Amino acid sequence: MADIDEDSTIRATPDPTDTDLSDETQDFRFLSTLSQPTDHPTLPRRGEKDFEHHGTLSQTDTLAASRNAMHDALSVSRTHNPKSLIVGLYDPSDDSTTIEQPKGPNLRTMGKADSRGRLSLLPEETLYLVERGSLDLRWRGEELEGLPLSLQAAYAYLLGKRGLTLERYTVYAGLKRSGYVVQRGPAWYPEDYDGDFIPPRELEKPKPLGLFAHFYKALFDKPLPDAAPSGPLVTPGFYRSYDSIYRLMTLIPAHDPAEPTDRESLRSSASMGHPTSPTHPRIRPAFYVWKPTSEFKKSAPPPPDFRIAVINAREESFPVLEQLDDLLQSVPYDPPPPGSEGQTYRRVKHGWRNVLLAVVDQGVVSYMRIADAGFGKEKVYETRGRGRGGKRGGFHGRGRGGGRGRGKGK
Amino acid sequence: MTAPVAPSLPFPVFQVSQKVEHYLLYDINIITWLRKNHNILGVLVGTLPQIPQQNVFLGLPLELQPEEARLLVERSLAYIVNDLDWHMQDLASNVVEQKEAIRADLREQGARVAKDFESNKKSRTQKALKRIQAKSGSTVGQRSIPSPALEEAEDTSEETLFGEPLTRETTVTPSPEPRQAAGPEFKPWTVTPTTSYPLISPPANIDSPDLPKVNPSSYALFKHLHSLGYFLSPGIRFGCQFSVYPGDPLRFHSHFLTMSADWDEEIDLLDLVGGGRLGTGVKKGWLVGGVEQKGEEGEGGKDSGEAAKRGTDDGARVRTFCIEWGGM
Repeated sequence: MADIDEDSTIRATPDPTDTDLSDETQDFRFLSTLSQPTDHPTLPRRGEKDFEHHGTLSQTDTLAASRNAMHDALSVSRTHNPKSLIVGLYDPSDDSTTIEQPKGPNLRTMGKADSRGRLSLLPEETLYLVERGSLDLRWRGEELEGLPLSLQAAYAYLLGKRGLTLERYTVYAGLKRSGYVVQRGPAWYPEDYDGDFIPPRELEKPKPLGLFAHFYKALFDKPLPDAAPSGPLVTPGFYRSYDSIYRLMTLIPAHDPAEPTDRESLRSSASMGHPTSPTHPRIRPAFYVWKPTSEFKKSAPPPPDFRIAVINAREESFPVLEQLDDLLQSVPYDPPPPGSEGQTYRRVKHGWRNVLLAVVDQGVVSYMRIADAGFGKEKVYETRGRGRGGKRGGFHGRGRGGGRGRGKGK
Repeated sequence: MTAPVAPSLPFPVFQVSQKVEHYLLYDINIITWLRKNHNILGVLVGTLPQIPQQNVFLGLPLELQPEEARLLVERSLAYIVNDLDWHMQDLASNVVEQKEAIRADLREQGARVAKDFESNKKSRTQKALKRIQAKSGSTVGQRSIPSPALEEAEDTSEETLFGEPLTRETTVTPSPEPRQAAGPEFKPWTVTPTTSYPLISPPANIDSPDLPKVNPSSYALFKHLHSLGYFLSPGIRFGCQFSVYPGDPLRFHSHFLTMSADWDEEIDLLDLVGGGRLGTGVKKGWLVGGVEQKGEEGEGGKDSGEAAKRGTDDGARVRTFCIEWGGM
């Protein structure tokens, strides 16, 4: 019975922030509402579709109108005003794209400039710019000089080059359309998974323990009385606080996200899959992603806001523990922010290392966040009293023993 | 704009081969036609050039699910062409005259676009000027809240309105002779065609012996539901194999979330409960289906849900079961 109540409350209060318009096929007739130059384009609300055919002319007409709108919207060809024209030259012999005269806001965060001011683009960058109608891509080479690559030709030639798969491109383009700044991550260089390689655009090593972790370590590495092999867990004695008693009762060892896992240290012994292992290939973030607000410099990118690994939903299964562990160990240590002590939920959600997985099913992308939660580090008995005491103020002096009376949150 | 044209059959489906094969369509006429006549949806994966900075409406190309590609090939509606191979062959064999013709054609297209743009701009200018005139001519107090853009345009020039300076006239009378780009000789725009066929000859239909690879059990279910008139799209948004629509998803909500299974496959009870709850939670049915094996203990899965439908397809009988969360 409780389940039904739960169900109905969930259905009764849909979370508006949880509504993703791209989740559903949208009616192309509303495209014009997006294209009008207003500051706040209003999108059609969900749920204005029908449940089933009811055979009315009105329904048929509406559907036909939607289809026509879709057809029209997709028939628009990409044209370039000579005033703002950006020409890229594609050389099929080495799959390189060069822009002789780079300009415009799109290129600010893309490509790599050489000393002469020319910009060379990666395949995904080229393809995205062509697709959004911002780049006139032409063949380089004598016999085809000046002819444009069609959108189709760009797809045909650029996919599969330099590690670009359609799954990765789908994720890349989706992120770019949302406005993020996106750069390649280590997944493109599988030969360098194991270590001393420095990704071309960023140097990233798992940081040694931060100050915060040191503090924690110091806290826990206090010598404890050795548990006796037999007898009571808590030996009779004098205890000043519950903490030391709880600590004695901690029997089950828990993973400490601040330390490398066993698998990490064992990796060289080939117990883990090799990059070429057919069953459980190693996974690495394919993209480093920055929020569009950040001051981004191509030459010296700040630490990325997100790291995204790409998985094909139909060909690969969800990563097994070894793969996840290997993946998480490859991303930097990122403990819960200082000041979140006592907010267990927030800390566990943030985790100690985190990475996003983009699961691609035939062009549809689903993102999920994987974090090393470090449950073992959240000692409920230590935070008890502290977090809530702060709210009321003046409770600090009462000490930990006083927290017992308010044990509701235990 | 342009009315949909029925494609000539069979049409090419372009294959991009990597570790995984993908099937793409670039011709909007084919896409519209498939949607209307064959209930084939695919997924738009490209960026819409007119509004690139959003993810709600996407553009060409269209990615076909391997099941869809396979179905089209089996019905001789389409044939598979490896896109890169075709481009490489044809570009190499393209003769000089052909290239000249293509260039000329593109130039002509570009000139047309430029002309359209200029005339559009002119008519917009005139409209805007008329509006401004009407506004400033009308008595003060009436229609008192002009948009800031117009206000500004009044003060300075049309620059802010149209993004680029065209003329500086403030008179209403349209001047037929703008200073630059006078006459019919506008600088032609450049065009990025969507498909490659105007550039090179359409690919020949080489009967490839390889059909698109599909998972047999999911393909059987796909084919079965498709033959009953349903539209199927990838199901990852609901954590299933396909979302099944009773009609074009432009107009209809989906009815079922499906998962295929082999006949004797053990289905985890928790999966049944989870799928059933999820489906019920989003007002859809959770549908499990598979090819029935004849002559064996075919009653195995019967109790797991209410039998929904039966149908025959290629002799193999696909049976489907719809599971709902009872919530007792």
